Amino acid sequence: MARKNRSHSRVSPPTQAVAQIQTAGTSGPCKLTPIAGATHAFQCKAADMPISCSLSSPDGKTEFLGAEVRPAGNMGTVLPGQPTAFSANSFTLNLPAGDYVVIASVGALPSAKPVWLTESCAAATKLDWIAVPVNTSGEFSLKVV
Amino acid sequence: MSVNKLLMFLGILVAILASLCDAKICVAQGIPSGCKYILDLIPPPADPNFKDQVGSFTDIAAHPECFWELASNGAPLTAEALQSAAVQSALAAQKRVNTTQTGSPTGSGGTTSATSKPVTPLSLATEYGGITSSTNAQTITLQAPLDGIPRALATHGIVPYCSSPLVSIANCVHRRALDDLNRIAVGAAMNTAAPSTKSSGAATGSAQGTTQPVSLTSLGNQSPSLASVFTKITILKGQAKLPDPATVNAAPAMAALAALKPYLDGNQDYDDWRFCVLEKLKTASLEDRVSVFKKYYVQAVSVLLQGASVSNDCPVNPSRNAVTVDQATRINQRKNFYSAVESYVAAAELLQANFDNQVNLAAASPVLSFEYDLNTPTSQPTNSTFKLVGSVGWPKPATTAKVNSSSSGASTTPWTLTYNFGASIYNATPASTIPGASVLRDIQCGAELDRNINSSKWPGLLGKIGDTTASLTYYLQYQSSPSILNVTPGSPLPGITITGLSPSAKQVFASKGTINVAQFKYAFGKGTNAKFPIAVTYSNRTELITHPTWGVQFGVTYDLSALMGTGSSK
Repeated sequence: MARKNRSHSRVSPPTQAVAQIQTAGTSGPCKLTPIAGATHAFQCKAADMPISCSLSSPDGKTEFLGAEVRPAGNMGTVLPGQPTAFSANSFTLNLPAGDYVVIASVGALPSAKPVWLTESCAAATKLDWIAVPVNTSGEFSLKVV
Repeated sequence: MSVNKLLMFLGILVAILASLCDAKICVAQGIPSGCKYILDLIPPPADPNFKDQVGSFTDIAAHPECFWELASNGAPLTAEALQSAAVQSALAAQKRVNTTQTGSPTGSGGTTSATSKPVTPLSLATEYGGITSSTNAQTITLQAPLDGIPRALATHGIVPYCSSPLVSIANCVHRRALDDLNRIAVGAAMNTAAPSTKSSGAATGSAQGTTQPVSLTSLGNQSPSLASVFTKITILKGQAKLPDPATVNAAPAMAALAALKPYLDGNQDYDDWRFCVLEKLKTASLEDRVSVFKKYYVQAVSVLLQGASVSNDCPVNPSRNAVTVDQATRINQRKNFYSAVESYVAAAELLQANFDNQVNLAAASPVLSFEYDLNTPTSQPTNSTFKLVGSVGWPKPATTAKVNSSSSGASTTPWTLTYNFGASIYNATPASTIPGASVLRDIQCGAELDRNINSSKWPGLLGKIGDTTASLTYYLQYQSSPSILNVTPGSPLPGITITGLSPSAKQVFASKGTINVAQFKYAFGKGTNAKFPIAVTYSNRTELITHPTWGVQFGVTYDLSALMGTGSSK
């Protein structure tokens, strides 16, 4: 029998996660710029590395479960050593020049609201929209020049 | 318990499990519900996020869920896809918690627990030594939450898992139903050895010198007997918390997602379709979006699986690129694309099943449960115990960031306090000839303070012991009725010798009073699954013996939920 998605009134975000969300993406200049004519495609200079990505989860009910970088021309290969730092709410990449696809997997509580995958910077550049709980992954193309 | 009652119980259990299978596909206004959920979230075109959100909605390489709902048309996930995903998925690390009880209830003749814990995992335990009983016995206890088996099947990819009621997956085990069933647990404890394992014998022949033949018989039961059956219902669950990401392996799902992109790169019909949906949604009113979806979004299936072009009434994509993939390659790709999408959905559902396990494990204290025990102690009238069981843990565990870690146990609270309040009644009114006897057998309360101890910083071999738990327990039982023993004159009770009984006596009773129990318990257990609790208990009296006693209880408990890649809530 199909059921409606009921909200969990007792579910509240952990205090620490809220603190992380409030601080994520609030400092430093943005390094990623959108590539014109493409969707979810960005570029940056190798000299601007490292870059960090965050999860803009207003209700604190979604977290990163994993992140990986694959060369755009060889999607069967995972770039080793990336991300260089990873936590439930952010990850950091340090990439040489090249074309890449960045994939992030998220886990969400049943009552979670959709989230944005963003760059951790003052303007919080939006990289992909993840409509949790239906979508459980995000992705964007990254060209490092 | 009679065979009929057992069959009825099993029948109800099967019916509950069968109801978990969701054979119906959730459809709203003719749109798969997962698609409808996303469509409704897209803001009006004037919103600055409109283009990005439509871009995500139509980016099947990154968000294939809606496409899969359309393309599968309600078809179930194939066993191959599920099993393939299951093989790639590592079992999640399990968490040590002090709010789970894997052993027998307090009143049993073989238990290491002076108090009950609020949560029952899928577990097996064997224990020796009674706490309030006057004889020692050995018990084996098997218990499980009702969601234990179906959750294990889901986490192993044997049955599909509906991570969200929004995504259509036929014949799946539903996330919400499992969460509800997780509130109920059942278990049974069996006496596996005669109490005190005493034997009696008689000479069967004449003595020959210094030797003589005898025939011995056991004073206890010749086969395992039921010690108790019990059920636990969670009244108040702890707050759901996001688990440590390192406890969930997302790599298979990300690999399956990455496999989709090559099918779509350079596919100009796919690009045209995305542009078409964007443009049509731009000009559609919010009320007309369903129509746009039904007319244009659904074309993704024919474009990607049949090589069709978007309909002629779609606007021309100004950034239309030259064909970069030849037609023969494209046809070959189409054959495999659906399987690739299905593989991703299977991997994503499996990931979600494991994630939800970890959410359950990370659920915070306090937890409040109601417990009912039907006790059938050897040679005593059966009784029923009703308990409220609560726990609280502190301080909150710190969340640690990890870099590319594969697995790790989630942190838990160092201290846990468990408390019980309960009463026990005889299931039949005691004989009126027993002074002071009534249906109310006793009232009881208890508290247990647990402290997690990590030995990793201890010197030498001690550092290899792993995580251990030290517990201090106080238990109080006020006997409002005397304890009663069923006797048959001439047939001695196992473990108890009574002399001078009247030939007509059918029951004997001891004086009632208050039992005070203090216990120190230390539970060893390298890793997360097996524990070896050993306890020393002092009591001012037992149910039958009215003077102070010391006792030692020990056992082996195994959390089967860890073995099966599932778990119960904390």
